[in-house]
Amino acid sequence: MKTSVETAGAVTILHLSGRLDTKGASDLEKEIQTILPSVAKHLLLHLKDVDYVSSSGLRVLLSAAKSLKQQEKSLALAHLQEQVREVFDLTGFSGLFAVFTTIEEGKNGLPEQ
Amino acid sequence: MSTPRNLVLDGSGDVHGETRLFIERKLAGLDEKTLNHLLLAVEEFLQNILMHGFAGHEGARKIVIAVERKHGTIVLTIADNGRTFDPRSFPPPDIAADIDHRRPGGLGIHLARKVTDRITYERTNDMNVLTIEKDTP
Repeated sequence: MKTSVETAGAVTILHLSGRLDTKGASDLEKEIQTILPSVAKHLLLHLKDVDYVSSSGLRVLLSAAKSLKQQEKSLALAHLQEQVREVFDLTGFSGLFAVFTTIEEGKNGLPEQ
Repeated sequence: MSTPRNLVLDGSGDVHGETRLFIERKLAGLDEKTLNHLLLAVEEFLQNILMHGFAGHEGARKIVIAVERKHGTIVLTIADNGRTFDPRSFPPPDIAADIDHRRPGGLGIHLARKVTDRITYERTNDMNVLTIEKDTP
């Protein structure tokens, strides 16, 4: 799992590349722990280059969403690939987060406050 | 180099990575969607074995994975010598719950069942034997 971080106003964008399997989820968990304190309002995960997610990845996303919500912040996702969308639909995760078609829509669609 | 019939693992090292490579080799040419469904199901069951089946396990650990094509069906078996566990007995998660009412875990087996066609389980010779079947398109 490769990651890079970008900040755009109240939105911290985490670009991900690779498989969000058991190994990738472990990498992502560490990365999120590192950047969580610096998230202003929203953490937006860019998933364009993630073509596979398993329940290990879902567990990390849920944990991040819970932590952010406690601080009145939010987790959002952009650009889901087919396999990722299917797994989200099968587990009800599609309804847990704001999901945007593209990263640009995410940047523009998340409220400043 | 030909791929061996079975993959035998001792539960240490990169279990998921070795398994994925083995299955991808055995199922070379299979469409990506079907392959990803099988890889997902196997990862979920394997993770369950590693986390729960072998928890507190003393002595040598053994996982044997086999995969074959039977006409229009992929048949994949995972055998392990961990504690007795029938994943079919696992209660389904509440997938309508919101973030506050979500508990971590419980989704893996649910997913594995959703993306495959038939799953059977038996306990034979002190091994859990799980057979996963997926019809090809």
